[in-house]
Amino acid sequence: MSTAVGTEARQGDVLVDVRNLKKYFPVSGGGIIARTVGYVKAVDGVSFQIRRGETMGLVGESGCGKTTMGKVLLRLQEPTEGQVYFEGKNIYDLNREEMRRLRREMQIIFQDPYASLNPRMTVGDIIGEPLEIHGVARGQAKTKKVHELLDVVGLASFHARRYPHEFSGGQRQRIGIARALALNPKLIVCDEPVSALDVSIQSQVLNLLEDLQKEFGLTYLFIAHGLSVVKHVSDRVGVMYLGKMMEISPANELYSNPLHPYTEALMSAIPIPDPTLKRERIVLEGDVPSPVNPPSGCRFHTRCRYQAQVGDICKEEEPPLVDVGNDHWVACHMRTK
Amino acid sequence: MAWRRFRANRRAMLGLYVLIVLVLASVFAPQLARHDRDLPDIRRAEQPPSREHWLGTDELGRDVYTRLLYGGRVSLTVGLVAVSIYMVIGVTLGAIAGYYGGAVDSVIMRITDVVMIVPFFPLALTMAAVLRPSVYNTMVVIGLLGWTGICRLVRGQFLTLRSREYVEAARAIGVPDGQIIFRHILPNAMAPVMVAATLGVGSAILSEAGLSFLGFGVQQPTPSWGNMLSAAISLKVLLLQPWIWLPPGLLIFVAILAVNLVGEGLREALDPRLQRGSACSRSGP
Repeated sequence: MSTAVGTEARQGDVLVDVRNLKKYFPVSGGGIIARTVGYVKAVDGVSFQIRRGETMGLVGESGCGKTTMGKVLLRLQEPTEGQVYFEGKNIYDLNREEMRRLRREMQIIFQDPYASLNPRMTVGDIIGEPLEIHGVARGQAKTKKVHELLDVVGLASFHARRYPHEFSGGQRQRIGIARALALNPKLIVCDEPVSALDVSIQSQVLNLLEDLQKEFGLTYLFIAHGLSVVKHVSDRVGVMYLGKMMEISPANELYSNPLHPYTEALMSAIPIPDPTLKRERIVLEGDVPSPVNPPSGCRFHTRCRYQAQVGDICKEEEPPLVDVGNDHWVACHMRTK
Repeated sequence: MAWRRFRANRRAMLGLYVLIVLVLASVFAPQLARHDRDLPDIRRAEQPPSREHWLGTDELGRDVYTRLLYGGRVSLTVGLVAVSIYMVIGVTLGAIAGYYGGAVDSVIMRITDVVMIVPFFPLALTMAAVLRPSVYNTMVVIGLLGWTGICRLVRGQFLTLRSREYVEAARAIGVPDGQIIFRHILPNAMAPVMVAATLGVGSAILSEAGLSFLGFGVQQPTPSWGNMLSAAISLKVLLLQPWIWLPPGLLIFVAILAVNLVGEGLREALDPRLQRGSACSRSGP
């Protein structure tokens, strides 16, 4: 959301450093005594950095591990392996109390505004709860802060007395945003914050997020399943496939010069608002392979249209994520050979 | 909203009115009674209903109508208190099992299974015999043996609710576990629990009646509907003096029916997806 120049100026300033993060979910077999028969490798060794003040986009198909990534990054779920450094501290080393204090710094906005607000609590209680839990404000001061927050997200103070079911999807998402903002966090993970909303409401919410970023100097990890939304909000974009990072690049660079064949396919799926314009549509064959048994070598080789040209190396060796210049990283044998 | 749906349900309202009458009659028993509850009067023993004794007298010459009013007090209190006891146990254990899952869940659910496997009456009779039968021990025994259903119900609710996004949001904020359980999940899990508790009052009254009938519940001279009914053990009373055992038996039947009607009404009012009349009623032990 900030300009490319601004991002470069802050390049050295890393807020979140994710190193070799893994999250496996055990799959238990049938029978009377459940035995673990394998693991769903939702996130399988992902490393990247989020710089202070930027919006880092994260895209990929359903089931590629984006959401798990976001949750493990906030330690809502424990990782199987790896570290996340937040302002230089590994958050998985923190004890319960330290972690609770750190929650002030990192928040999350959820995908489904209908599920993310407690139906039995008033909006005032929902937004006021973080203030109370962290001892920021109580009583009158809390009410005042809640009204301020409602105002910031474009709602009125009388809304505080109402219940979530009295609001529309877009309004509910604003309530969710107000709750995330209450503690003045540094990082907000936006987990597909607009995919459950009408298109006309989507842009409103995106603009709100953008304004808030400018006003409060927020850093976003913006998770989405298509490149089109991520395109105009992100400074940098990471592309995930089956729990692995395939490509990370500044947004402009990625759109003008996608290097990974999977990114190419995703790009070609962005609709262009011009019916006369024809372009080559790359259709991916088949389904996403099972994350329990990901393909050997490069995980994308089973659906890659260049695989035949490149040869057996794709099936045998896992390509590392390599810097190819311009802050552009890609994990593909074809590009790095 | 739910209240409006409840009021529209005629059977449920009928149950509610009957319950209110029974509760009022028990509360104002001293005002409504016309004789001493416990004072025997052998000269007037085994009299059929008359102007003096509306429902006649029992084998010791005590007024059946008076004892029925006081017996209602005991029976309804036992029902309520026993259910309160098992609500506390069941909700707490169920919430812990469902929220934490894993090993904690397995241990609690295996304990629940064990308690469920043991048939109610043999164990209740044994416990009552060991603890000495009394009103309080009857409540405790029913309470200690009845919590398993509520526990499973609450656990199931927690299993589904704990992965809701608003619970995750609470964790992201840093809300402590206890507060997540009681403030975020429990209020959303209460509807079916309240229904089960209401129905549970009915079955607790029945359990008390059963224990008292067998002589291991409420003891003479304290009357309860159950121990008044036990007079019918004698063949002479059963055949020739129906005024002694018919009224308490009828009241047990009416009270449980009323509680069940209210419970079903609550279930339908709180869960609009349920089609009317399709809900199957839960019977007592």
